[in-house]
Amino acid sequence: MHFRNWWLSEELASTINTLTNLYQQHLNPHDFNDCLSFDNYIIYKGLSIWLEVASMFVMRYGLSPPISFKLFLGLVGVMAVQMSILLIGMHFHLAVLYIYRSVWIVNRELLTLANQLRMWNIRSSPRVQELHCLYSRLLGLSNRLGALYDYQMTLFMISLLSVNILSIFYMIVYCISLKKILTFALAINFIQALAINLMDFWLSIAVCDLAERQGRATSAILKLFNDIPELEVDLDRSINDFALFCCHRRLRFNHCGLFYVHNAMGFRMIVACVLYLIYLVQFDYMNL
Amino acid sequence: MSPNSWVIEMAAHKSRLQVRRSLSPHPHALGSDAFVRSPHAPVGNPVFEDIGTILSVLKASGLLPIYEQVSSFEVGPPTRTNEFYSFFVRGVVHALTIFNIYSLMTPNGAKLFISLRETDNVNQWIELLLCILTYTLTVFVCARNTKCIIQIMNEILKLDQEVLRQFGVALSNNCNFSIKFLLLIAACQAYIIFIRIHVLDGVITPTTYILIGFYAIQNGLTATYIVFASALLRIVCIRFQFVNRLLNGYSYAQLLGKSRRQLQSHMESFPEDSLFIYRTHNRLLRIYKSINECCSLIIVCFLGYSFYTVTTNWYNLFVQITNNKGVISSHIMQWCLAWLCLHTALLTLLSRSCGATTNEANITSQILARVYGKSKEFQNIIDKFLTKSIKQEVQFTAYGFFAIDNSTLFKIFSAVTTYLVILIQFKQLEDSKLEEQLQETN
Amino acid sequence: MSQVTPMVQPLLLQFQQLFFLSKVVGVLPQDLTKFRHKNVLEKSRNGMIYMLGMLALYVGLYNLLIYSFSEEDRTLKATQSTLTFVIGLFLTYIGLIMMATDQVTALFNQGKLGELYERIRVVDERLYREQCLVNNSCIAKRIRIMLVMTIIFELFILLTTYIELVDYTQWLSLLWMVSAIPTFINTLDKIWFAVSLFALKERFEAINATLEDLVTEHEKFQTWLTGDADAPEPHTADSSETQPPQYDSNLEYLYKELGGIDIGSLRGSGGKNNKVAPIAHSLNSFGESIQTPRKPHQPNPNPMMNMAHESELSNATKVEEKLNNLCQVHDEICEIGKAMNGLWSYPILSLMAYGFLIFTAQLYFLYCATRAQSIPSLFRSAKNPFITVIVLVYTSGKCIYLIYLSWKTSLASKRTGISLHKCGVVADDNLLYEIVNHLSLKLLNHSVDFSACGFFTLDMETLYGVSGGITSYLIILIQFNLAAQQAKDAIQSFNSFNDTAGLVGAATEFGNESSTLYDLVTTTMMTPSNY
Repeated sequence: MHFRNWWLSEELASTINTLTNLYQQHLNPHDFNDCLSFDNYIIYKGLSIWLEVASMFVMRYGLSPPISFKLFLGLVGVMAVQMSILLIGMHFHLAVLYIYRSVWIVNRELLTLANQLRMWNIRSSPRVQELHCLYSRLLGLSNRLGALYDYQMTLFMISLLSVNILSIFYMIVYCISLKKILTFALAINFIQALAINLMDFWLSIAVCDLAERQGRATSAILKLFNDIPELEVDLDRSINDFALFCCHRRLRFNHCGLFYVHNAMGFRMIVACVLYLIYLVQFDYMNL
Repeated sequence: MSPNSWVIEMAAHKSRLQVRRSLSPHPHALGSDAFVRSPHAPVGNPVFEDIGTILSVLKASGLLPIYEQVSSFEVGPPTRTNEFYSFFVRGVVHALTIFNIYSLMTPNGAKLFISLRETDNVNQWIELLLCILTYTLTVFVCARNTKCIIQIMNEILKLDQEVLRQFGVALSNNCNFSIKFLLLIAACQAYIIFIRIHVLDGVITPTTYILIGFYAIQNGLTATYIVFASALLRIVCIRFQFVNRLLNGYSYAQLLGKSRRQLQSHMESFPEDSLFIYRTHNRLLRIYKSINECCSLIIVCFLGYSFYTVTTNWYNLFVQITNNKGVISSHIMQWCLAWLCLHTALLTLLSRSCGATTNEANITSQILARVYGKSKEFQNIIDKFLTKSIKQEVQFTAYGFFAIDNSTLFKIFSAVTTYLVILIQFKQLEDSKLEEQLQETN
Repeated sequence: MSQVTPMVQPLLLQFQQLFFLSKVVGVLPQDLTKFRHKNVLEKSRNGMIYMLGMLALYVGLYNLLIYSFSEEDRTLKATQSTLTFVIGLFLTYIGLIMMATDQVTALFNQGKLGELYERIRVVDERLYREQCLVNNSCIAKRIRIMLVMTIIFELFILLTTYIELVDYTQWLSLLWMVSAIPTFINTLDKIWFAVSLFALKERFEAINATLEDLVTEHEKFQTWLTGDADAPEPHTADSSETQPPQYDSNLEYLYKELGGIDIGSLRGSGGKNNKVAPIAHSLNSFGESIQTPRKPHQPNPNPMMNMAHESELSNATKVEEKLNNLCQVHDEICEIGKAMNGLWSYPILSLMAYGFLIFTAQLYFLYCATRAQSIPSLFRSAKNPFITVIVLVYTSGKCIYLIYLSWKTSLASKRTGISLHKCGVVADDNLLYEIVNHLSLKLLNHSVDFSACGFFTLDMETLYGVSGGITSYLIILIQFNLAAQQAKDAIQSFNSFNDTAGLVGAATEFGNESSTLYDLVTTTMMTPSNY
């Protein structure tokens, strides 16, 4: 993971530079204050990272009460590794969020444009082409970003999911098959770790879904231009171009060419996990 | 939950402007408006008459706001006392839920389970918890979406008003099915309660009654909410149908027999009508989307719950049929059949209404493609819409997880089969384990 | 062109034998005499009563069959595993259900079916006006082949099973003949569907071919233009090729004013009178085809006849009409396809369910038979592997042919867009290009895809999923069977031997069972991926 990160660091730098450039050139004059879900997701992500670290610490602490220096050292090492992985995940998350916000701004511009066209009888505007250009650049950026982070994010998701499955499985084995009594502290520990893991996983899916939905909203907004009578030919043509572009190239995040990340995919992953868990339990049943 | 809420708000703002704008090009429409309105709109004529029963049930249970009716085409936010009532009901519901969970933990609640095996027990527990979860979630989401629901209703009413003004057509809502389903739900739940109490032996404490009763109410209300969502979808579907019918009047098949003069006069109104159609279609799509956002979480939960219930009931039936030792218990059979009937009916209703609405929404572009205008102007109008609706299939999704339409039913039942096989395997494993233990004791 | 004389033969002309047969057997209720004289399907009350009578007769006979053969099944229930018994019970009636679905839907749709063929006839007429001919003759051949195949298969299965496996000393065994009735009726019904679908596909292909012909003609025209520019008649080429766009649009306007929008008459008269140059060409195909409409479609008339190398594509207004009409016809065919799918949706659903279940059950019973376990008496054909193979080929052939045909039809309908674009590319004309753009947007929205009640679409992907489903369920069934057998053996050995020996036996059995369960788990892991 780190290796790939280092390998592509130049490309990464250039991509992020382009993103910031884009912001400086086009988007700075707009105000971002209304974009609520952007802020929310940033807060969620930060929270989830802190929670992950904390839960890790609590787990270690809860499982082995006598803390020796060696254990502490090992703990710090593990936590450092985990932290770095989480941070990589966060970078991707943030970049996706930024793209989301720019698409959101594009959408808002389009919407205000539609309103203006309807209210005051302006019949032409060069703004649509600008937005089109901006949108295509954003798409290119998001593709580059997806290509950069695909292996890391895939590994990240796989590790989160497998950790979840295994932990639930061991928990079931521990309490039912070994007939041990589940203490309250242990249960709380287990549940919080599970919940935080799930939340982290779901955040990484939800953010991609958010951006994708925003991309779909673009074409929905373009439909609003339908019922404005007597548009100028140029404007009409550029809107049509934009619409065709939107339908041919959508804003989607593809990991390793394997799967597109959106809610449906996340649902399928979770269903697969549940099935897998059931098979594991069945095996366990048989062995007893 | 709704990152696109600004779209809705701004669009609502815009539609208000549209209404004002659309007055000017139709002076004759305004004249007829006065005629139409006076007999049709006595104040106090309740809106959404067809689904009135279901609305009142949901209002009484605090799931829907008790809105005020401002005029015959607008509903207002609820008054303070009514709002307080809804709050109170929701509070009672949550308190009851907590009480129930507590009493389930006590040994008293454990009597409710009539089960022989460990697996069945686990199943029942999961089912119960899912039911509680679904209902609690329904209440929470409903409490959050109060404004959203009122807004949806207002938009629908405004649309009706505009249609009435322009075409003099009062759209009817064929939602009579809602009352039938309400009766079905009530009957099934009452029957289930009856069987349950009948089967229980020993002393029945009031707690048990509360437990069973509340469980039934939870089930019933969740089901009622699903029927409500289907009714809303049906209403939207009828609006879509209206738009499509309007558009269909211009398609070439209708024009084949007419003479040229008729044709020209017929096509003259096309640009004007097309604007109306596009606008209405956009607004309907927006309403559809906001209904989806309001209901999707509840629908996901309900689908999961009913999937699980259907599976366990099939499993119970299977066990009852195949076990050779005991007699077939007719109570359990009836019980399972009642559950299966209820849930299958609800699933069918939901998927059918979603499928119908989605189909109507997507068919508009197909009908438009059948309009063969001769001149460049008409072609441009048509192209404008068609370009923007390439690959823009509308879907009613369950929180983005999967699309709900007719094929969902098929998928759910195939998934039920798979899980049934897994459950039967568990049963076999358990049986073999029991035998082993028996042999060891021998 | 006069509308009065029928220009094309109705499609139903080809259906005569099929109709006669299905009328006698009781698949269709429509009136026989009217069909003979006027080639139309019309409602008839007598036919309905006759059909209901046949249905009742079949149901009665089938029940009698089940009853008379059920004595063997009683012993089966006593001796054999419950699983086999339950499956047998469940599947006994599915053939009957399928047949009843077919007949009842045919009853309900008796009026609509006639309308459907009437619509196809109208489409044929319009296509004919566009000089795009459809060859119906091979449909009759197809019907004959399918009928013969059906009868051969049915008779073969019936007779071999009867001779090999039924005890024909008793007179009651003659009832076994009844067991073939449901599948036969079902097949007849499906032949109707398949042939009509095939006819639709041919129409799509005819449209495509017409468009492609336009392209090839135009290419020839262009080579001719560049090759010898000083040809005997340069003025026609010049006037049609180097028209300025303004003139074009003027012409279009004039056309609208003059010809009106009565499309059919405009096409017909325009083709003959208004245009001077293409007369030879069009008259040729017209003149011949009036006498023999069945004559196969002529893509390229003799180049010697076509001296002028006139290309329709160079005349934008004219070609616009033609393309427009073709597009409308395409849409109409799509609509017919949808209507047809709607008429047959329940029968197809029941056929698919039947195919899936019978395929699985037949294989499962074959397995049971090889293990020398007894199987339900109605599925005795599974005792012989050869007959089983024939049955499977017959059943799956029906399903797969329908799926394949609907898949091909929707592909053909989608191909029209490609052909249209070829026209746009070849004719290097701004106006034409816009027309093509507009029409291709419309074509994009003419969708025809065949589905069974909206549950799943009929295409190759579904076929793949279904075959995967059959395999996994078969394995699951076999494993359940194995587990049950082993449990029974264990109980028997436990009873007969002394305690210690029984314990050892049981232990080994459980070891085996765990291995089979391992397989089971791996197969169930495969199952959800199919859905």
